[in-house]
Amino acid sequence: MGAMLQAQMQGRHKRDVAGDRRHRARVVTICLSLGLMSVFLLSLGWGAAGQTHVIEALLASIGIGQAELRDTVILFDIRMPRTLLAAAVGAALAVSGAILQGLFRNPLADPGLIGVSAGAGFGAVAAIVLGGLLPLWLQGLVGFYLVPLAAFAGGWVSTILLYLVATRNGRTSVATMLLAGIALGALSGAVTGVIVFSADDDQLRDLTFWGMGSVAGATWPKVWTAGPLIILSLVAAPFLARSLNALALGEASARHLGIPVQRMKNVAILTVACSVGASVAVTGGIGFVGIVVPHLLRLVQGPDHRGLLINAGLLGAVMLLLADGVSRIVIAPAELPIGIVTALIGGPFFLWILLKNRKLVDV
Amino acid sequence: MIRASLFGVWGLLVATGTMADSYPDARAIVSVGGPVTETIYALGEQGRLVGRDTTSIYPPEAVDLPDVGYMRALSAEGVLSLAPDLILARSTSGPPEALEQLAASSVPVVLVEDRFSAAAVVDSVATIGAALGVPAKAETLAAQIADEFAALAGDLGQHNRQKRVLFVLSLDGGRMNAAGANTGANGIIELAGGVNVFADAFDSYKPVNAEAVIEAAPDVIVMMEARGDHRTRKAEVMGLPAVALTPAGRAEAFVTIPGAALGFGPRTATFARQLHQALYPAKEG
Amino acid sequence: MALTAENLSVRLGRTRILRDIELSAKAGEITVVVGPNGSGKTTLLRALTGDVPYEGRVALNGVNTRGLSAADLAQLRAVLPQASALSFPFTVLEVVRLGLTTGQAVAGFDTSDRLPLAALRRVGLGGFEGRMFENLSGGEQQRVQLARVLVQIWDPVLKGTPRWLFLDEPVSALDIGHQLLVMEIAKDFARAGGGVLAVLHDLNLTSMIADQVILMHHGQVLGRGAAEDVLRNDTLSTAYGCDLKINTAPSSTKPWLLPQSAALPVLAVAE
Repeated sequence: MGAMLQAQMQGRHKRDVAGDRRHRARVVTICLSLGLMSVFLLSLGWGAAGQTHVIEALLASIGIGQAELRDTVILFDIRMPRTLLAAAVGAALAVSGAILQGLFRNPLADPGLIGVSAGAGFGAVAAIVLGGLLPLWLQGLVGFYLVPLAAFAGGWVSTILLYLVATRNGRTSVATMLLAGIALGALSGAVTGVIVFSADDDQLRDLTFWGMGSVAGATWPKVWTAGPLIILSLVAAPFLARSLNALALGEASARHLGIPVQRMKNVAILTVACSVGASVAVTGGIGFVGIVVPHLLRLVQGPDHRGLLINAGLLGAVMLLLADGVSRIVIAPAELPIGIVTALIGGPFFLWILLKNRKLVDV
Repeated sequence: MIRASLFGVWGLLVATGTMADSYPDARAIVSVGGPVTETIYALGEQGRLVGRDTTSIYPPEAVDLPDVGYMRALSAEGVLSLAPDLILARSTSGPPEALEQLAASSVPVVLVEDRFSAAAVVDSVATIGAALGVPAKAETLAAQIADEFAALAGDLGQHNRQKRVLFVLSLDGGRMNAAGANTGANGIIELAGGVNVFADAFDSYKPVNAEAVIEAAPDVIVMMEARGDHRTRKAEVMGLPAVALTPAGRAEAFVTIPGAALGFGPRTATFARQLHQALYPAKEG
Repeated sequence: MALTAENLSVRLGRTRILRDIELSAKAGEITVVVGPNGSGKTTLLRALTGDVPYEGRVALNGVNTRGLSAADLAQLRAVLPQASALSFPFTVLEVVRLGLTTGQAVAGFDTSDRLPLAALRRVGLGGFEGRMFENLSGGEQQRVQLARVLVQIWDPVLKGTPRWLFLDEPVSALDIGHQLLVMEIAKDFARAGGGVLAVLHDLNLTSMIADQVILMHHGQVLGRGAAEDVLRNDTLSTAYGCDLKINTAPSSTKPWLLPQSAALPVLAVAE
C-alpha cells in the first residue's frame, strides 16, 4: 500500500517542488477518510448479535420497509453510540497527542504528561469510592454521571494546577510542566491509593475496570456530554497548526516569526484538557493512541502540523474503532477492555519508536 | 527463593488437605473471610476470636473485633500483632507472600476451601469444626445446613421452565460486569433454581458485550444490595438499551441479594431460598 | 529610521549583565556588536529582540517595541538565532517556508514556494530543498536558517518602512567562502535600505563590513563608532585583556590585527 501511495503521489504531482510533502498529506487524508467510513460501517454491522438486519434497520429508519425493534435498538442504541464514541475518543486522543508533542517539542509527549489522565483518574476513583457518602438527593440528581463528571473535573483541576505551577511571569516553562506532571501523577496516584484502601470489594472491581478504559458502556447521553467538547477541540486544533510548526524552531524563533507563543500555549493546553478530560471521563484511560498515531503519520507525511492534526484525528478514530472491534470479538460474549488492546499493540510499538529514533529522544 | 515459596505453598496445601488438623487449645484465633467468621459464630466458638478481616461483618457483633485488613491484601505483621495461635482463612485470601510469611512464623494457618456449592458449605463447616476441635458441634451444624439445602432442593424442580438469570456485579456508567461460571453468584443462582445465562460463556466476573446480553435473553436481572437507592439502581439497569430489550427488561424483573450471599457459608441456604422466592414470585402464598 | 536603545539594563538575579546601554543603529547600515566572551554582546542582542526581560526602552523605527504584538514585530524584523535544533524531521523547504508563517515577506502577499527557493539559492543551497534538515552539516543548517530569516523580510523596505535583520554569530559554523557570502547578503540587505545588527566574533570580518562597531566590555559599551575609531590597540587590549596590535590591511585603511602574546612568538607581523 505504501508503494502504491508513493506511485500515485508522484504520478499526479509532477510539478511539485522537492521537499514539499503537502500533497502526501492530502492523499493520506483522502485514504484515511475512506478508511474511516468503511471501518465505521463495518463497526456498525459487526457485533455479538450478528451481522444481519443492519441494512433493514437503517432503511426502516428513513421510512423504507420495516425492521424488528431488536435490530433497531442494536443498531441505534448500542452500536451507533459506541461507534461514535470510539471514533470521537480515538480522534481526541490522537489529536491531543500531536498537539502536545508539538508544544513540548518532544515526539514522546502524551496526554498523560500534563496531568489530565492522572487527575481524571483521581476524580473517578474518588467518585466510585466516596460517591456513596454524598447526600441522596445529589446522588439522584447526577446519577451515573457522577463518575464521568468527577473525572472531568479532576482532569481540569490538575491541568490548571500544573499550568499555574509551571507559569511564571506570564511564561510557561515546558520542562517544569513535564516534571511537575510526573510529580502530580505520583501524588494523585498516592492519594488515589489511599482512597482505594478504604474501598470495598465491589468498588475495587469498578476501579480496576475503570482504569483499563473501555467504550463498552457507550450510551447516547455519554455521546451527547463528551461529544460536543471533543468536537469543539477537534475544530479548534487545526488553527494551532501554523503555530506548532513555528514552535519546532524553539519558542524564541516562533515568537520572532510572529506567533503569540504564550497565548497559543494557553489555547493548546485548554484544547487538550477539554478533549482528553471529556474522553477519559467517559471511557477511562486509553493509552498509546496519542503517541503511536502522530508518529506513524510523521513517518509518512512529515511533521507539518497542518496536515498532521487533521490526519491524526482520522487515523486515531480508525485505530480506536479497530481496537474496539478486537475488544468485542476476541473473548465474546465477554469483552476485553479496549485500554488493554491499545496497550498490547501500542506498548511494543512505542518501544520500537524508541529504539529506532534514539537520536530524537536523547535530548 | 522460588523453591522456598513452593515449599511454603506446599505446606499450606498439606494443611488443608488433611482434615485432621485440629487445634482445640487455640484461644487467640484470627478469622479471615466472612463465611469463615460466620461459621465460627454459628458454632458458638466466637469467644476464641481475637481478630477478623474487613469482609467479616456478620453477625453484627463481629465488627467489634480488631480488623486485620482486606482479605486479599493481608499483612503478615498486622495479623501477627494480635498474637494469634491459629489463623483460619478462606483459600482465596492473599497475597500468597503474606500467607507464606504467616506459615513460616509457626502460627498454624488452616485454609478453608472456597467453592460455590451446597457440598462445599458442609465441607467447610467440617474443616472449621475440626480445626477448632469441636467436631461434634460441627457435625450438628453441618447436618442442619444439609437439611436446609435438602428442603430447598425439594421446593425446586417443579417449574416448567427454569428462569434465566443475569447477575450484574457492577454497572460502571453502563458497562456491565456479569457473573460467569465459578462465581458465588453462579452458585447461588443454581441453588435458587435459576440458570446463569453466562455460566457456559466464561469464568469469574467479566465485562460483557451489550449485544451479548440481548442474545442471552435473561428473564431476571440480579444485583447486589448497595448503599445507594434501590430504585435508582433499578432504573439505571433497566434504562440500558440492551437490557430494555430482554424479557427481564420488558417485565422490569429486577432482584437484589445481600453481598454476603456471594460468599458461601451457613446462611447460604437462606439466601438461596430468598432468591428463589424472588425469582418465582407466583409460587408464594 | 533607526534602532535605538535607552538605559537598557538586564539583570540575572542580583547581578546586572547589561548596564545602561545607549545605542543607535541606522537603517541602511550594518552595525556589529563585538566583545570578549561574557561581555554581554549576545545578551544585548537578546534584549533588543525581547528574548530576555530588560529595563529601559528599545525602539524600532521610533516605535517602542513593547507596544508591538508578535505579529507586528515579525513584519518589522527577523532574528537569526545562534543555533537551532529542530524538534521534528522537516525538509529544508519546509524549514525555509516557516519564514512565511505570518506577516508580509514582500509587497503584495506571496506565499508560494518562489521566495523560499530564491532564498535557498541566495545562501548557496539551491537544490537542497528536498533534503532533510537534520541530515545537513552545521554550516548548511545555519545557512538554511538564514534563508528562512531572509524569506520573512524578503523586501528590506516595505511601504517605505525599513526592516531589520538581527544576526547572532551568523558565520560561526561557516568556512571562509560562506562567511563572505553571508556578509555579502547582509551588505546587500543594508544597501537596499534595511537595517542589520549582527553579533560577530571575528574582529577582522567586523572591520571589513561594519558601518558601526559596538565594543562591549563587562556589560557596558566601551566604544562605538566607525571601525577605525573603535578597534584600537588600547580599547581592544582593555576589552580582551591581552596585548593586541592593530595593523592596516593591504590596499585598505581598515584596521587589521593579529594577536600578540608575551608567551608566544608572533609569526608574521606586517610592520
